[in-house]
Amino acid sequence: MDNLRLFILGFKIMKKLMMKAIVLTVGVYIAVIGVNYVVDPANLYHMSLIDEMVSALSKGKIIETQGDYSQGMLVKGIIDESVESPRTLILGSSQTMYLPWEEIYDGVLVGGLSNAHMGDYYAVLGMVESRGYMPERVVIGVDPWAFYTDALSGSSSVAKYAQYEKKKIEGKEVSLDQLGNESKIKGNLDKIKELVSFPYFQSSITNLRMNGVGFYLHRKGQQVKFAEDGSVGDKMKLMPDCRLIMSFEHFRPIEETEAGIQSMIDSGSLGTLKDGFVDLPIDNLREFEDMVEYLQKKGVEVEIYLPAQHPLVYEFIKNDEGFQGVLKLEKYLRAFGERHEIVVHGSYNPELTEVAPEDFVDGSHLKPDRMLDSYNTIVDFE
Amino acid sequence: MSITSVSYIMFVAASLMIYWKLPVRFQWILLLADSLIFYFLNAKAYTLIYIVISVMSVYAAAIYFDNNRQKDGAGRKKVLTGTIVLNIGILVALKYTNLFISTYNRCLGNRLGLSLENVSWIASLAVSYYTLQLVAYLIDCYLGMAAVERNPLKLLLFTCYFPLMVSGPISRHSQLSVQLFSEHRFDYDRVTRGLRRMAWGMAKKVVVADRLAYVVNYMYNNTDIFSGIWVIISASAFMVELYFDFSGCMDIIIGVSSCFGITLQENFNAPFLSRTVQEFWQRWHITLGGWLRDYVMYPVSRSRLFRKWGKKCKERWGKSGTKIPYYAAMFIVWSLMGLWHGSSWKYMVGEGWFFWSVIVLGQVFEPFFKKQKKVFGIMDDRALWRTFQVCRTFVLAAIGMIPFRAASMTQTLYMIQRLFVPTGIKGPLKSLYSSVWGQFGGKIVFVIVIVLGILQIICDFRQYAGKDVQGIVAGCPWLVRWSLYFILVFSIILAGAFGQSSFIYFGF
Repeated sequence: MDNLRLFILGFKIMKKLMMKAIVLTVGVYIAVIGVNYVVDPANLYHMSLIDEMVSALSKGKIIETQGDYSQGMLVKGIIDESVESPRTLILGSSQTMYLPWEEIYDGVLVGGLSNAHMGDYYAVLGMVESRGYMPERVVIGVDPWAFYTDALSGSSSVAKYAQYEKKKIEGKEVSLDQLGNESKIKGNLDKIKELVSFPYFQSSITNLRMNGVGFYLHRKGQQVKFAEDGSVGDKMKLMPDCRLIMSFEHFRPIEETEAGIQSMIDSGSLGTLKDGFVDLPIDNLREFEDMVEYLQKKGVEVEIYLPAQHPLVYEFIKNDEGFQGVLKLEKYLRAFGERHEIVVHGSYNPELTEVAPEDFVDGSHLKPDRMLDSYNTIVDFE
Repeated sequence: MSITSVSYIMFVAASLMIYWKLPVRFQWILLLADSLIFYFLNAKAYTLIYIVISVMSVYAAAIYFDNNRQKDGAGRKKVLTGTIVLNIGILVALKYTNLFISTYNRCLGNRLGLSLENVSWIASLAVSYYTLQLVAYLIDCYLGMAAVERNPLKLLLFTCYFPLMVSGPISRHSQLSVQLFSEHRFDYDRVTRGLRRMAWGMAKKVVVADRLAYVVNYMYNNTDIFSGIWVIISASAFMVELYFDFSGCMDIIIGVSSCFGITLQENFNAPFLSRTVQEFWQRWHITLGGWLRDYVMYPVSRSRLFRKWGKKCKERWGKSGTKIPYYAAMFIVWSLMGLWHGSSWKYMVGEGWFFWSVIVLGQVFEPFFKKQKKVFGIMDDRALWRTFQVCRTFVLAAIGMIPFRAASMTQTLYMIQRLFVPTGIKGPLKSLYSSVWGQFGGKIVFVIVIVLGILQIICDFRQYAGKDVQGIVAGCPWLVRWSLYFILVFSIILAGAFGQSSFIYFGF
């Protein structure tokens, strides 16, 4: 009888302990699951801004751009969602992203990335090819700084596509598995595991500290705002082909633009062009040639676009010893174009494309319609 | 299945729920089942055969001793020797064959063109731990100091009791069998103490040890940068990492056992508060030191051979001569200590001969040091002197542990050499900060690590003073206690380096 009493007493005490253990465990996991779900740094349970932008653009909507987003991941998302290959793929920097390409070509995808270097050309091409697509035409907007780095040193968010493309161009064996599943863990079981995962909780807390609680409390599904049309407005807009529409803010007064340029000239460093270059970067140019030859072998029509520099900037470049590489680069690209039967549009020299200071919105970008005119100008270059 | 993983906690929780519901006479059977399940989840199933061979041989030998108490000693001695040779032989074969092969190749084989290839035998889990346990049990049975276990399954449980299969402690049959096979009633306080201890052990391992590992790994992988005083700093950092890793593991193991109503022996007793290297090893890995003392040191030093040798030394050199066989016996003990830690000569040099040298030199020069202390008026009980002793002991222990962490004997020697190459503080510190800070996890993690470190120091002081370590928490009001529990758990979740290395002493 005593044994039975002891057993029952022990059982009651054990039950009390079990309840406490359950309270502690449940309390902890509620906090972990709650934070993991709300913050969700890898966007497993919420559509990311990129996903929403891609979804809207794929449905033909025009959207307002908001805050920082990865242009590379956006282009990747658009390529993934598209049902067929773009007929014309645009590579380059913001010099190509504002140009109204739809007035010249059909089936355009603007795969430009801000401040694009050659590694970004490789990366976007890699994204397209890894999807099993190949455009009919590739237009490469080549900025003077494009060959400062090699083919594998572009935007880090899409660097692995550059590696993929380089291997394809070199004829090496390459597998899509190497690209991994960078965006999300797809399986439901994996998602549940991450929901209760402590390392994911740590990432969530880090993100929470960086962005603040308010950011996540207000994040409820729709983050993208639609625009009615593609006209210039208060906010920058994005067209379904990933072309950008400038906002009112982009249009700076001429005096302000010229003052800014003069200030840069005085410092000797011209923005992305930095301190300039004298000699052509032969190794990097070789990679560019390899890429173009690879495309041509695939039957792709390649065209090159040289965006006009601001007259004040070009005047400085022409006369400064440290920037002679820019002039050499244009000669080189034209000679390259001639050898490979590639049309070279525009020119770094604003005189040759008849653009004046008032045609620029800021120190480097032409107004979109003048960009089009510049592109359509095939200069007689000596 | 790591013992810091959620799956292990669930395994223990499920076992506990069944354990406390079972009739008490079946509890040990559940523990045996759990131990076998744990074994199969952590080791190749076929390696269990080594354990079975060891258990059956020791079982049979112990039964023989029990049935032949009155018989001729020679026969019993042969059985004892044979069984020890068999079990130690299995340990040596599984763990040290490649050491012998590489040594043979280096010394002879390569020169004669008769080099041997390394073997790829897989050892059973915790072979170094259970072999010592079984040998100790066998010797105790031979000497009549332990009751012979007549149930082979109970002996199997003693051998592979699952918490011990991770990193010990090396338990004696006379102590552990009482714990394993007696009837246990649910004791709320005992179980909660066990759970608290488990949580504390997890914090020590996952937060402090694994975060510190980033720092230690970087310093040991860049010994060119971290020279001069930085060699001492990196050795000390590893010492701290090792302590939190190993003692954290012990806390979890002892905590788990406590939840089952089983008390295990402590393996650490505030080792960093030791004043001499000898005291350090009485407080660090206590059960291994105790085993070597009881089953190697005493038998060897009291053997006929050593007693004869002692007499001869006394005749030749007087009273001080009697120390020679004592030091020789210690040399054997420390050589085994080094060898137990790993199958590489660097362990022999570091964990073995270095500490033997320090202890022997300390004893040899003790009269000289006593004189100097008198001359300078140094009193043993002065706080400053005690602090100096504690720091000195820590640094010596840290230097002795360099080979344990270093990749090889070559790297060990290189680090010792670099000790004498002065380097600035700023440069290496900058390098450490820029390379490791990002991995370390940020300011919050750093603060949590420091706080846990300080709390452990407080626990060590309490333990050193013989006070109950958990008493502070257990005596708090429930609101404070539960707040502390939540803070500790969230500290582990926030600051833990999950997916880091397994325990350093795992499955030796």
